[in-house]
Amino acid sequence: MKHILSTSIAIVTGLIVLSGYFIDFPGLVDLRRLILDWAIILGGVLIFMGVINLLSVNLNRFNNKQKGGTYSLVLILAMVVTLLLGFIYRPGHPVMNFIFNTFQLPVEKSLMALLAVTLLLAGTRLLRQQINLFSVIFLVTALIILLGTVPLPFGELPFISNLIKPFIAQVLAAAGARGILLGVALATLTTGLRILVGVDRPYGGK
Amino acid sequence: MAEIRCPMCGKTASAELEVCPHCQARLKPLVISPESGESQNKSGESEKLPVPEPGTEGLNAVPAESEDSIPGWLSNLRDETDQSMAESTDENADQPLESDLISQPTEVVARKVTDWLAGLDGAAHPEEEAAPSWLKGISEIRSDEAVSPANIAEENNGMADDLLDRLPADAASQEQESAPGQLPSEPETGQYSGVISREEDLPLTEPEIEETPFEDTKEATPDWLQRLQAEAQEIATEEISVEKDQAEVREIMERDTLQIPSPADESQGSGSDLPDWLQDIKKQPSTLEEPQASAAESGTLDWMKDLRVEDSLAEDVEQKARIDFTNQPDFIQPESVDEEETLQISETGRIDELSSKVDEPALVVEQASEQAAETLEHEDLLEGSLLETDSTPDWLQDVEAEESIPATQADALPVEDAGQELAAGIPAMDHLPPEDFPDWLSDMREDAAVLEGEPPVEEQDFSGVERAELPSWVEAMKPVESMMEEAGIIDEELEQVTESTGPLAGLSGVLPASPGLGGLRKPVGSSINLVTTDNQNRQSALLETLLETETKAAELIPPHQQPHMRTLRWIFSLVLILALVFPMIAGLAYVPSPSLYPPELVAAREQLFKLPVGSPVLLVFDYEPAYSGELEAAGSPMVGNLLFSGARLAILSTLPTGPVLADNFIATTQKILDLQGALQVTNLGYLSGGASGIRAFSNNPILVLPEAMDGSLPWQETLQDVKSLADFGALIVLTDDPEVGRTWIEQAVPLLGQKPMLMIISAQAEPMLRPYYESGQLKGLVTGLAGGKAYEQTLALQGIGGHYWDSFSFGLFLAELSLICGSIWYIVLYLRKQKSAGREEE
Repeated sequence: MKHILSTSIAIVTGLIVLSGYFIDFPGLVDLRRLILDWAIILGGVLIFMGVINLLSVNLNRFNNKQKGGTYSLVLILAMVVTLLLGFIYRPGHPVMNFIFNTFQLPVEKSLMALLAVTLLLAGTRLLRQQINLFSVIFLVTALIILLGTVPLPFGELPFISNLIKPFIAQVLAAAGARGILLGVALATLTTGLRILVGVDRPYGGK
Repeated sequence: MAEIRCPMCGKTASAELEVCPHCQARLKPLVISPESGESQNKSGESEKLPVPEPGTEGLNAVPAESEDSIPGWLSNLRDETDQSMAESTDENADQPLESDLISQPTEVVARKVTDWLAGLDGAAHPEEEAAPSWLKGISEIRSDEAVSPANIAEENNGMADDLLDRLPADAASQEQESAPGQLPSEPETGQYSGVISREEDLPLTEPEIEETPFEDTKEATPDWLQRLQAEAQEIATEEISVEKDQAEVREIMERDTLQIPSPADESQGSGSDLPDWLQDIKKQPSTLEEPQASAAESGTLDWMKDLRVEDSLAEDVEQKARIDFTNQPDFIQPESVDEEETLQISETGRIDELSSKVDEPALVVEQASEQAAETLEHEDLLEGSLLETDSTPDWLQDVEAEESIPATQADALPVEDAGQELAAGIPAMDHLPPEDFPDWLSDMREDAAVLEGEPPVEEQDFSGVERAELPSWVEAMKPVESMMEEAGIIDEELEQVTESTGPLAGLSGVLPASPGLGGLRKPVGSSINLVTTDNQNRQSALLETLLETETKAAELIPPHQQPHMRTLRWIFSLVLILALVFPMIAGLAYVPSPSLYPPELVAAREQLFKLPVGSPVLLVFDYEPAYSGELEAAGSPMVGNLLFSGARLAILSTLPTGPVLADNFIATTQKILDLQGALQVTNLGYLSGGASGIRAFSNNPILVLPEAMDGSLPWQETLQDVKSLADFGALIVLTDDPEVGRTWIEQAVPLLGQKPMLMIISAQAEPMLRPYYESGQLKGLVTGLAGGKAYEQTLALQGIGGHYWDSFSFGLFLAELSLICGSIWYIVLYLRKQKSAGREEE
């Protein structure tokens, strides 16, 4: 009974929202907007539930003295402090911006920089593990794009910047990207239809 | 010495012997001479030897000791009868079973009548010389006649007469029972003798009912007739007492039929030689012709005629049933022989009871007595007419005609049903109008109804009888059902309920009229557990192992770290850090700016120039903090351009970190561009709901985000002229994720109307989002640090892009150089290995 109810709600809601895009009926449009407002509220609640889940998992890990329990304790303390400060000062307060700009932003930027260095090192040692055609193609393509995108200290490479790099980026890569987008669009359409007819139940149920 | 084979035991014996030394059976049958009526030859010189037939042993199975006591003329008569029966059996041997069943009753009746007379003659005259002349004439006539269908018909006519004879006789006997000591109304013994003979035709009847007339008329009855009566009583008593043995009962019945003469045969003889009582037997049927005419006036004898017909039919059916099932194999017989015999007995008992009840009224007895008296008066006139079969009265011919038709119907119908209906007599009487019923007949109907409710006669115990051993070929002909019963196999079809109502009543195995032929029970559930063998389990485990190895990544063997490689790493790290940090610290501008502007950047700039001064612009900061450096460098020139133009900015983000990044972005841009004064920037904060939130905000931004991040009401202050998404002058999305950019394009562009949508994206998202620009959904696109540097160059500004430009160029150059050097180095190592491997092979 529960599965039937949830499936019915999902199907009816999907049909109302979908029909609201094609039928300009005032009542239907208002109903579609109301449902969308509910979805936005539920999305915010889901963020809060995610935070609670994160707290619960790390708290259990710390209580059970599992590996990395100390890091879990740090995470819990940071989250609780930030939450309390957020409740006190509101998110746009300078204190909250300071916490963000001092801790989270540098950490994430550093991780991105490490990623760049790591990718460079991996690319340099790519041919160390195996030398084959695809490895060579991968390295050559990366070099051409870098040479064509970035202005070199000694100037641009005319042939690469004006001919090869645009061909690779706007023909080969764009063709692949459009193919991916078409696949994504078809997959999205199929997923929507499957949810509408109740075949897929991401909201639960077998 | 010639030898002959005994017809009884099959053993050989001398041809001169008359009696078999083994079984004491007569080897040479006696033959009656057609002319003299006496035995032609006692020494075995008969012209025709009796042919022993399998089915006639019972008829000839007379004890040896009684064979000697039978006079010669009677033996000849018996032999001739047996011979005629053998001939008839031969004729019917080739006929199918059905025709045999139909033809047997009439033949048996003929045998019964003839043998009855033989027994009567033998009992009355133990010695051959004492036989009267009239009885000799009967023997002569019988010897002259062959058993033919015409004779059988005549004998049946005689049987019909006997049926009529029995009626007054039973009535008289019933009256005698009711009034003991009173003389019967009709002193003529001939009628009673006829009744006796007819009653003996019916097996297993109650003999005490017929005893009373004989006792009362003992003085008028000859001695031989009294002995006959006693013998008949003994036989009847013996039949009832020996009911448990079917074979014996059958034998007794057949022996009785052999001893009962037929009145029809007597009618063929000369009437002058017959005694008075025997003449009455012949005359009575014809004399009933006049009472029948008178009865037509009164309407009384019509129902009596029906009753007679029904009685005769019941007797025929009973005899048929008895003959049908006695000479057939067990499997052809009904369910069990015991039940059949019991049923015959019960039906016969019912018939006799009903007959006795019919004879109860004194009125009928008186009418019969009057008819008999009238018969005596017209004896001479009717005697001659009796000799001709054509002189049968019309009403009796009607009776015969009616009898013939139901006889066939009785063959077609089940014997039990026909017997029950005839015994009850209810259907026939139901055709009569109720006002024609006499009182006693009404009582009889009530009694008949009571009889139907009586418990059945107890089944006879045949446990002592040995089961017959059938030949193999007969066993092979057994139906499958009988074999299933013997094997203990229960056939479901046999257990089906017989239809009791409707047009299919009486039929078994009829499909039920109710729905659900297959039953509405729950189907038996079958287990879904897979039954596998050990080999299959091993193969399954092997397959699982293969799949696990396919999904697992190959373990990389860590290369042996060489000491010089660690030093090289440190050198490479220092060079890279220096190349990135030094240009920024030194403020170098060594690297030349891009000479060409990308077209998407030019289009974005044109869109910004088209914006009216002070128009509201929606900025969406949907990028992660890690990409903030790139996107700040790419977007700050455009946002600075907007701030310079006095646009009212509304900041929004679908990421929780977006509002803070937006504040940092605005602050950084304001600081780098040295923008003074109050900026018209409203941070709306975080928009939850993903695509749904974007759609909802696009439909009604005021409803979705009514307050700003700082708690102000932007829709009533800086954004008071904005009611929908289309009221914004432009929508600029800063994102590093192609998916986020696609969502905004799909959900917001349709509601923007003619307003442009621009994007400031990371360099990694360009290949995925450029198609939207080329398709026209995006009006402008600024990509990465290079795009920001180019946009700054168009504005002649020194922004974040210019600050990072040299470091960016040197850092990427080192990266490209490291990739090239590293690839070349490892290729050389590979070639050296190949070369060393080749040398080792050589």
